[in-house]
Amino acid sequence: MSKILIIEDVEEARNSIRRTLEMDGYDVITAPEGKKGLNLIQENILDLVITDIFMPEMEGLETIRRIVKSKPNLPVIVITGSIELSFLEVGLQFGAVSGLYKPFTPEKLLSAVTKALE
Amino acid sequence: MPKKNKTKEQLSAELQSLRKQFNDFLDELPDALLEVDVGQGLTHMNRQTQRLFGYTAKDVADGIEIPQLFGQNEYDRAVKIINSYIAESQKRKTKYTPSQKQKLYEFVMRRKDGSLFHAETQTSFVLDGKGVPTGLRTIIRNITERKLAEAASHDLSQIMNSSPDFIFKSRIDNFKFTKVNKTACDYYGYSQEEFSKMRIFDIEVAPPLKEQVRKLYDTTPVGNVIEVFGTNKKKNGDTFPVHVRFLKLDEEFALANVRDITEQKMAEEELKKAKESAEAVNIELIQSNEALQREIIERKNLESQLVQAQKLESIGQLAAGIAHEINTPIQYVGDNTRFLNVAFGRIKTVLDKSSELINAAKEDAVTEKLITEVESVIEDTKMEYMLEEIPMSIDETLGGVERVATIVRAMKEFSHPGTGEKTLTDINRALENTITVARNEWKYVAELVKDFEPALPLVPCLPGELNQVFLNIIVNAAQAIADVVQDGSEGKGIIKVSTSSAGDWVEIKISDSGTGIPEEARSKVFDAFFTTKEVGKGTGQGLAIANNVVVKKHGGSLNFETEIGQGTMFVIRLPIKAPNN
Repeated sequence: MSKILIIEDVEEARNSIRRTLEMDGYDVITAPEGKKGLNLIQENILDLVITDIFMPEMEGLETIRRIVKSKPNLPVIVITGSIELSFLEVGLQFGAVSGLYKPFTPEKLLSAVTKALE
Repeated sequence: MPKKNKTKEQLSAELQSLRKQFNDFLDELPDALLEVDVGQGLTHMNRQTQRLFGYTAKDVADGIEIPQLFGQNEYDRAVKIINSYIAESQKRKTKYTPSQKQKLYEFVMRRKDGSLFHAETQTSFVLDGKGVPTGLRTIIRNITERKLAEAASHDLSQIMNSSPDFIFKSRIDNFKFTKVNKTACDYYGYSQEEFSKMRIFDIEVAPPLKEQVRKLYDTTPVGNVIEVFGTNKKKNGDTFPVHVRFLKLDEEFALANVRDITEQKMAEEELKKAKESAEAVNIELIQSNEALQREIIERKNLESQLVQAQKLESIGQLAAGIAHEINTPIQYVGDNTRFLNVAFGRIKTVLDKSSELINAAKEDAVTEKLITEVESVIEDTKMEYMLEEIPMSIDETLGGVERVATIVRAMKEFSHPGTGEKTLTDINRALENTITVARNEWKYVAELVKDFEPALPLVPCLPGELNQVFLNIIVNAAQAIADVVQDGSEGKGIIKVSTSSAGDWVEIKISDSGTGIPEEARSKVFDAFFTTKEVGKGTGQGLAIANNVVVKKHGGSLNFETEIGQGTMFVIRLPIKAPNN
């Protein structure tokens, strides 16, 4: 079963995304920010990371950069609540495989996940 | 009468009788007469004289010294005059004839009681056979009244002549001048004599009708003063404007006081001109004042527009942050609702299967197979997981809805323009709203610590404008920290917002652990358009507006303490009692 890490600073959002993935049969772990997320990446064998861009402690883009550097085979999906169009593109530039704007439907998320895991 | 020698006695009696007749005759005279003899002194004083001087016949019989009849020094003068006569007649070596020297002389004479009076004397000499004066006879008249009248008249003349105005006395019946003062004669160019032949109309230019004047005379009571204005003319034809005040002295005479008001008229004209020009200036002033007022109103409008625009600008800037803030709750509220929908479906599945079991139990037909089926449905539907996640997701959904409502509410309260009048405001609440609205600006770079004094006194203020001030300072704080924290890998900074009250003041402190304000910038912090930020990150109006709002509009104070590398603290103080604006 594929294991997915969600890095998202808002707890409720972490939970709702987690539920969506769990209901679809995925194994999910979460982290509230980049640093903790990176630790979990080192400690676990993961198939996918979904991360928000704007987070305290470690900015999402920096997190993406480090993940891509340390685990080049680990796909990253970037999500953001920001309405600035350019941020997602920047996320992609930093190495994310795809990006989603909040609010996204479960279908959109699951389809992106499926695609990233291929 | 028979010529026979009369006896001494007879002669004496006749003499007495004659004397008595003579005296009686003298006493009957209406004039005061006295007789002086060179040798004997006062020989006779008739009754009128007695009356005039206040002496009795007895006084006369006892003897009256002539000097006591005169006022001081007057006797000497009388004696001098008499002596000079005698000397003159002796010089001329003519016989002194009584009829020739009857001049009138005035003396101040003294009565018995010591009071003085003016007298006019008419003197003739008593001569002996040879024509030598042996005495004199004097008729005396009391001219005190006449003298007073003369003096009064003289005084009056002096007054009249010393007046700078022209004084005319005229007859009421024929309008002719009877007396005119010297000033008038000099000014008009006519002599007294010429004037006495003229009528009042003759000096008037465009004189009124006789009938009008007559009517005026008739209807004016004696003693009332009437004022008229007109134009008079001099003998040489010159005309001048006059102010006339005349009064009816009695039924016979009228007195007019006339003044040349040329200068006055010129002054009036000047005054009129000055007034007109002052009025013109006044109108100009009023107009420019109105224009100024309009400009002030316009400027005030512009100011409030600017404040509003700045507010909208910051709202616009915040809009992205706010959308960001709302996005996440929408995300999980949506997710959770869908989850609950699925969960509901699964629970229904379990309920349905449970119903089957219940029905079977009722019919006593529960089978192992059925029990296994129910258990398997429960497992397939992940009921355990559901029972854990469903309450959580309901809670989180409700929380998310509340979060959005809070943000919207804060936006609403923050951006409400207000009535323009001060209202009592809970500063803590205002700060809460601003903190909520600005959350996206600070949450990634700083912890925000609140230290609010509970039950902070309400402050009369313009809440919309104050919120703007708080926002500007909080955003500045976040940006100052962002400059230090950068990507956040070194941890977050701290923004501390505290409120307290002391006496008539409420104090709000907003501090940050940012870069601090450099020395060179400290004096310019409140200047309009001064900013240390790069292009696009603020136009520098925030603190200038903050200063204007706090100090000018609220009578408060805005200060800061700063240290490079440590951070900055802004202190806002607001009066609890509204100052008189």
